[in-house]
Amino acid sequence: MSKSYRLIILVLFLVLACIIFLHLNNGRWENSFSEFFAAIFNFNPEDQSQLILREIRFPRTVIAVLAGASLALSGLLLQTFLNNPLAGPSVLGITSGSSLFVALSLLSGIGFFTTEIGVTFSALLGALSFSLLILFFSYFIKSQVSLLLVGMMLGAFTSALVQVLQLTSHANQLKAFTLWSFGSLQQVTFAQLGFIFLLFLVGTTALVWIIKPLNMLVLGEKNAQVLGLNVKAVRILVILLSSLFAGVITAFCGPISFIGLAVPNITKMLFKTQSHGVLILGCLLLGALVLLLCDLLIIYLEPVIAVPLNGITSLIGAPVVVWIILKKF
Amino acid sequence: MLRFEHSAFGYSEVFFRIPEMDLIPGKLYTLIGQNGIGKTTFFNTLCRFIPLKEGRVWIAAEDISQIKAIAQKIAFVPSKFEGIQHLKAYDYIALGRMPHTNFLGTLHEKDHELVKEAIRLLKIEHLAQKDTSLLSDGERQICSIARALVQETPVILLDEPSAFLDYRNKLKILELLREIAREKQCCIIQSSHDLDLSIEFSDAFLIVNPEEKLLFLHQSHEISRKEILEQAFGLFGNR
Repeated sequence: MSKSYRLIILVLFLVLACIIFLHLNNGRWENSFSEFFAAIFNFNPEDQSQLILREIRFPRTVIAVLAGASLALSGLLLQTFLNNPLAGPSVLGITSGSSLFVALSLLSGIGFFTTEIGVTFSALLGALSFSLLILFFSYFIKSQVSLLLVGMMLGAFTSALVQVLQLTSHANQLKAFTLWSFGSLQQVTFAQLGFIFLLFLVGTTALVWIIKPLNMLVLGEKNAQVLGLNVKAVRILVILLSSLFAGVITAFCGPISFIGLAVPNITKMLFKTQSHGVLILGCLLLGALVLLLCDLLIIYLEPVIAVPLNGITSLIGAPVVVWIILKKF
Repeated sequence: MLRFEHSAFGYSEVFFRIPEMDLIPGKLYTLIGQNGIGKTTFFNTLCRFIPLKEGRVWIAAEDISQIKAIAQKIAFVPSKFEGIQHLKAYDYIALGRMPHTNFLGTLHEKDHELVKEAIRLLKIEHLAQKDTSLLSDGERQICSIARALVQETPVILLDEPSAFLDYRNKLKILELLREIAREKQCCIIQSSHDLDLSIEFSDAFLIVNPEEKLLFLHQSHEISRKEILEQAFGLFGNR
């Protein structure tokens, strides 16, 4: 890795550390580092402030970091694999797939599917099946823009289905689903973090094997194959990983749009490279940073107005994407 | 080097056959044939995108269908490389080393040496640190050839490498190809419709005859422009 990359990564890392600490402190500098340490490792359930730190603030910050990084990575994988800078889990309808399956499971009211594991499982299944659907379409559609349009149609179709489902469901189930669909980092509990982190770790570890294939796929599938890449195997791995990253986060935080689309593009502009070792690290850091900043904005706006997370990411993400389109097409 | 035995190329139907042919290292071969006769299919078969219809093809003593890492034996240069934003020419060329690297794609000192050597040989030192999306078609084509060169394969295939280039660049590419064939002792096959230039630079012609659906090998000094036109296109010379 060249020196300039290391410098940018170091700076990003330091900025991220500061923002993480600010976010943990609810946007103000009021708690010390040792208080957090105590709340995590030396927890006393009687202490009210420790309880808030441990059960509310800490999970919110950690999930912001994991969600931002996961969605950005999912977007990067899809963009390189489909050779399309406008690809991303939400644009291609992969998040909509999760939404549909979560809606089905929550609104069905069937025991297993309304539990945490049930919902996670549904979201993953939804992400995976819609990824496969996009993969299937990508065989027949060679134009980059057409594939995106198909993704958007998938999104429109599923949201219509979800609306129909909502009409036929009970008030409580409807409320649970509507809250979920706003996107939120506040639903995750301390106890769930371990499980999410484990899945994140599995995904990021697997990324090591995919750096070289991604570097080759930049040249397109055929050229990568001529350079000895087993495209079929890589295709499966990319779809699995991007679904895992997008699906897990969608399950726990609801649909969060634009992070997966915008962050990889910002990363590429910042690092000016196609070396995916660097880009993966960059997306990890920048994704976490961007989502933390979005959530900080929600925290600061809270006294005035309660904006849902999905609203903030769209407000910021949509102009960024328009800018990318103006630059590239 | 490259040996064909009763081989046939095509998809559901056979486009053309090569009864028996030996191509030797150090030579530049030019594949001539009319549109749709199966030149691209021929390349795709050698790169193993599609299976050989019939017969066998050998590289040195190995049957190509049995070779594990075909990317270490055959390099392929497409007719056009559009360039990729943020991908530097040096990094693009270095991707040619991928068939020889570990699962992480780590480039060692030797790999960097080979990339630099290729850059020197093709005299593109001034392009190395440029973004490939900002290069001209001719510059990009030379980078693609450099990429194939660092792949260190005994066989290099090029699909109409000069199709999109101006006259000066066509000349340059053909000169380079002949030089690489001599210097690296590899067997280079290019398909081309630039008959007059190819006659000047290539050692031999692979001509696909559309009536007989056969590929014939002719040394350059044995065949005239008129005869090539007649064999490949059914045309008489002086047209």
